[in-house]
Amino acid sequence: MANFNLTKGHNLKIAGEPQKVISASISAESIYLHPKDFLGIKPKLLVKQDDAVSVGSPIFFDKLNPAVKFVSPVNGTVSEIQFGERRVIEKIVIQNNGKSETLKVDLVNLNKLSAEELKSRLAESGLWPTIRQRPFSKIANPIQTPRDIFVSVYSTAPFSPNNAFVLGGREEDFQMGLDALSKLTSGSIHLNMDGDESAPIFTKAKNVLINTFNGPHPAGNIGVQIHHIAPITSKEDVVRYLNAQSVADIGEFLRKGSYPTEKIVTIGGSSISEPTHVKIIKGTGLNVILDGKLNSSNDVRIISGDILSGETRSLEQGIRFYDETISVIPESTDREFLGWALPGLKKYSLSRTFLSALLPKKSTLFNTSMNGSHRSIISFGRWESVLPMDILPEFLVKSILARDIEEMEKLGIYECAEEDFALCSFVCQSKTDVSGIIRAGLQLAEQDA
Amino acid sequence: MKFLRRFLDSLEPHFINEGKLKNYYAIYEMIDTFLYTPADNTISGPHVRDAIDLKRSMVIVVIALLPAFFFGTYNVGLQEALHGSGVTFQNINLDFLIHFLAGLKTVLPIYVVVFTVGGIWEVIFAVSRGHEINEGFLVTGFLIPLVLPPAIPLWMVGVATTFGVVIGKEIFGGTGFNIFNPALVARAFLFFAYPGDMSGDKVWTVDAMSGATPLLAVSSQEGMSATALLSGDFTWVQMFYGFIPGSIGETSTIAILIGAAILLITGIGSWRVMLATTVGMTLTAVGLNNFGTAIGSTNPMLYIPPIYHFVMGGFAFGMVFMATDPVSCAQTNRGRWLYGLLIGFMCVIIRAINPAYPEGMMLAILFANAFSPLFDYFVIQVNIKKRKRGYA
Repeated sequence: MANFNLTKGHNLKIAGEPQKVISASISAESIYLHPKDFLGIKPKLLVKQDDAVSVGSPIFFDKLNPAVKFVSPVNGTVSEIQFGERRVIEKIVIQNNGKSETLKVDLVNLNKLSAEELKSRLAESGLWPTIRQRPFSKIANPIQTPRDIFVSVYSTAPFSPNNAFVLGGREEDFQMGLDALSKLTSGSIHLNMDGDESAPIFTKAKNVLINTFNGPHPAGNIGVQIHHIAPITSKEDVVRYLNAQSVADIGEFLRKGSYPTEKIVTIGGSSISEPTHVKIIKGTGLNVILDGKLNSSNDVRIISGDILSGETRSLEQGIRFYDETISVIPESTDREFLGWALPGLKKYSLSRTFLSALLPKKSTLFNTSMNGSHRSIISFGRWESVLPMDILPEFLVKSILARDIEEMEKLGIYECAEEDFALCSFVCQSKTDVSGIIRAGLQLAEQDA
Repeated sequence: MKFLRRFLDSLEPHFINEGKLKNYYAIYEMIDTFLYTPADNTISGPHVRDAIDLKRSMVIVVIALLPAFFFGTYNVGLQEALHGSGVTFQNINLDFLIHFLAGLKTVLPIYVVVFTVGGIWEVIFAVSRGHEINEGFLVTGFLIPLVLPPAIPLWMVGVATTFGVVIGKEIFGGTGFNIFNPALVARAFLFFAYPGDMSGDKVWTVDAMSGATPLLAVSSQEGMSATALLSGDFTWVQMFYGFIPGSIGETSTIAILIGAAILLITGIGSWRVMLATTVGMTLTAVGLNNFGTAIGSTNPMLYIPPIYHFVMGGFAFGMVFMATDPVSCAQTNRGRWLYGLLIGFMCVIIRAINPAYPEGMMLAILFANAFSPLFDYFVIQVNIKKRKRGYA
């Protein structure tokens, strides 16, 4: 067991923190699948409009990894397949008939399964995509054997669910999931948790190496944790990681033989009337999840994921596959007169350039204002102050802008993911899109053969 | 105020897309975002942003410069009165307003020239290059007059500002890309192009009466103790308060330290650079003091104690406002230490060893500016090597 104390970073104090209550399950008339949620796959449809599907039926697969299936979480019919430009699949809509017919596989004792058999079961089941890999944050390549597998149950991102709370009652599933994962690597399963974690589901987990982390966001981010435990050294040094709920899903699948259809997500933000946890069927549309929960439906931004690294979504879309948080905040419309000269008693800033620095930080009504205009990168040392990694962010960003792949590699691009740099963008006085640049750098490095 | 907002909104279509004035968008953007916070919203994550922007950062620097500006202007008036009337410092009326207004007659025209000439260049480059008008010039423009001798002819101010803005900054691509501090480039240009007007004992007061600076007073004598040379008009306390001839903003150490406190509290100025510069200066001065004794030198400059270096000439001003320029200083935290140490070292070396020019701070900072990419390079190599070792 190793303990890591990280000091750099920041926990945003945002109004609309979700209550630790799971409001009643939400049933969905139709669910949405978005192949775009998966980085770098080439989706190929296995169904046509009006096809009948049941829980666990494959809907599409990845042409680059044909074994990996993406399945339906409900019973019903494919009611619509929406294409975007150049026939990119935007979304697949499945009408839910509410029946519980489920594709089941025979139950086999996990101990008797070989790694190959387990892999092919997971790939068929639709659970394989929950296993991702670093570098590049994409779906794990089933052909490769990862060095280690990492699971973070320490959530530091704004509004993210408390994993011990969310997994209450699924202790057996979770342990079974960990046991299954240990078959997929010759290395270790690292279970990373809060230094103050007390839930036995995590502290008493077996077949894992436990690492504890203390510190503000992004200390809970898997990339930051991997950096401190056992850094990724090259493009070929592949490690895998998954969310806590996905580990339990794998365990449940192995115990019951059917695809787990539900997940618990948080809805938070100042535009939500009662921020809380909700249990949803995977793929439920945001219009259903947020029905009656918005303070005002005008001028709000709906974000799948946390407020720092999430993606803007419309009500007619579902939550992103990997996200467990929905954040809703007001869009900014106001423009302050001579804002740069005001004392700024209510401004939220990690710099001490506003009078609010003298007051304790309060939950703030954040809106989507950029709070400034875009300027050249000027280093006041702000990025470094919120990045708990031994990475020189400014030089990494500059090497990416210069498209110098060799330099990027030397500066540690493979250890990076855009979410770890979200706070760098947050604090930047020049409003540099650090996360976007990191993503572009990863793409460049990946394409470079 | 609603009316003003509506007026600006009605103008905007002319400056964007295919509007007739689209080439002049930078000017619209400058006025629009000066008056109102920008309308930009986040597009992708992070969806919320810190309240700080570059405008705020630069305004903080200008606020930090105000004590030096007010005292400097007052001191210009005071020095003129001292040398014009022949009264001694002990007998002169120190009233702030009288001397400040007198000083303003000299200082204000310099500011007008700097901001007019510099502003025109900024607009020309922003419009022709299609980038925004950067707030950086606000600080550069505020700095340039404060590092000039008050008696400088205004045409020289214009030429120097042009050189500082165009050669010091814009040819590199504008704020954020320059390798030297533009305000120092302007001053260095004057120093090398018009040395007679920039140093010597004739330039520090407007009426060209003798007004040697403390550094000049020390460097011009041989075989005497530095502190003895300074004991008359230039006691340490007097230099600390700043009632001495010198460049407009550099004389008062206490006014500069108030600015330093503002920069450090707000986190806009790098404490590493300021501390390292002080440490570098102290170590070098102490070393030279001992070296002078050891070889029995008659050069009084070798014997100036560190606390005198601190209050003399442009040291404090350069350390607080010039060395900490985030663009031209080293970009890594470790690099900033080396950079600061080099400035402190070079400043004292130039002051003590160079017989021609007793003021070392400007050249020390420019020298360190040139070296800062090298320091960063070393820091990056260490980071890369450490990563390789960790991987192995």
